[in-house]
Amino acid sequence: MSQITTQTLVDELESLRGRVVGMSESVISATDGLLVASDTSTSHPESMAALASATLALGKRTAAQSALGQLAEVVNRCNGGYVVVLPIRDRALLVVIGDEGLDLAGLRRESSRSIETLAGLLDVGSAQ
Amino acid sequence: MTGDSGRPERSERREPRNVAGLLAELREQEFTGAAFVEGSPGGVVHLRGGLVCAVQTPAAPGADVLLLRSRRIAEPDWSAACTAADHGDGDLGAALRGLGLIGAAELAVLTIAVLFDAAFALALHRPEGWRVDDSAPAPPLPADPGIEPERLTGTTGRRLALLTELWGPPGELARSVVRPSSRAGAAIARLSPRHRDILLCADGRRTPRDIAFTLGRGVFPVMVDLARMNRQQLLAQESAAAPAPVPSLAPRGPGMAPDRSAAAAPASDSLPRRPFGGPSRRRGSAR
Repeated sequence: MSQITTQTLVDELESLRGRVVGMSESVISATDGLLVASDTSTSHPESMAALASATLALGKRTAAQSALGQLAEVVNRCNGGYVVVLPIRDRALLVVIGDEGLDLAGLRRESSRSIETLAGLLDVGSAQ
Repeated sequence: MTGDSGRPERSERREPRNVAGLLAELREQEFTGAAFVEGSPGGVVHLRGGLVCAVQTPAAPGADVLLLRSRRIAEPDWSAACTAADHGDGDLGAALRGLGLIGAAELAVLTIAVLFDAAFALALHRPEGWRVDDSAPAPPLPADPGIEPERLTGTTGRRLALLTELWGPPGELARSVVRPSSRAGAAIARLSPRHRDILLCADGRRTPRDIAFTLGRGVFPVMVDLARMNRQQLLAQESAAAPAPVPSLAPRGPGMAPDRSAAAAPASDSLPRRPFGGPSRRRGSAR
């Protein structure tokens, strides 16, 4: 993937962080766990990418097993904050890390716009 | 308001007006339930008999954050109290006191402080509307007795005025990212532990609200500290980035990058233009 496209991905991650109260960091990963881009400070991006891809895969299987339709998100709620995993179409995923006050409703509102943007960029990137 | 008497209907949606007016109305009606304030991020004001017993918002840390982040209560103990409350009558305060984790007076002071801080944080953002629900569940740690809305709005107004005088428009400041100025490094050894903790949190990614969450302190006290540190020229303040324009999907050449390329030039000391710049942030992102 070209450097310019990677920076544009990170720009979108930063933009999302500016729009969602309580969001601290984020990572974009391919569904196989390969790190694509990140906006992090204390988290280890490669580890988050790998774990999130496993989380998403398990979530999708659980949703399928329960016949509840397509998986929308997986929310890991911890005493100290949240890790939310959101699919980006079929090939990638977005991990959002937030503190205890993460505005989940705001994240859902704002992330759909960002995910559309990221999906478009990722498609563009891999076609080059 | 159509002049109907009696309590608002369940989940009735009202036209935007000011929240203080809404609370005054609910006080008159001795309302019990919740007012959901819509906005970015919005919040919930819980009332009992017209008095405010709790305010919850993503814009300010709750009692759990203050207690856990400061390690006043250890995580396993907190979880045990939550479980005890869930199995009992849902009274988390009673469970915390019953387990000897916190005294009644300390808990009372904490719940009131959190309430005022959340009301202050809510006032930093313009509400987009609200709805009132008299069937909303009670909050986990209500102040008892509750606070007169007039006292709450009065205190909030004074806090906003104080910050405006000390620093500038509080709403703008709340959305700004702060980082230490170049002279902060030299001064850090002479700072109070409280100011030092704040400076260490000011990594160029965190707003005052984020710093408050990280330290387990209130948003208003953190902003007052930041205002004082700013006067001592310890801060380089940056505005929050405007949301990035959605990038076009056309192939990009070197001349077609968005405005931020202009901000990548070396920053002057006092007002770096790029909000989230810095080499440490790029770790892991270059592939």
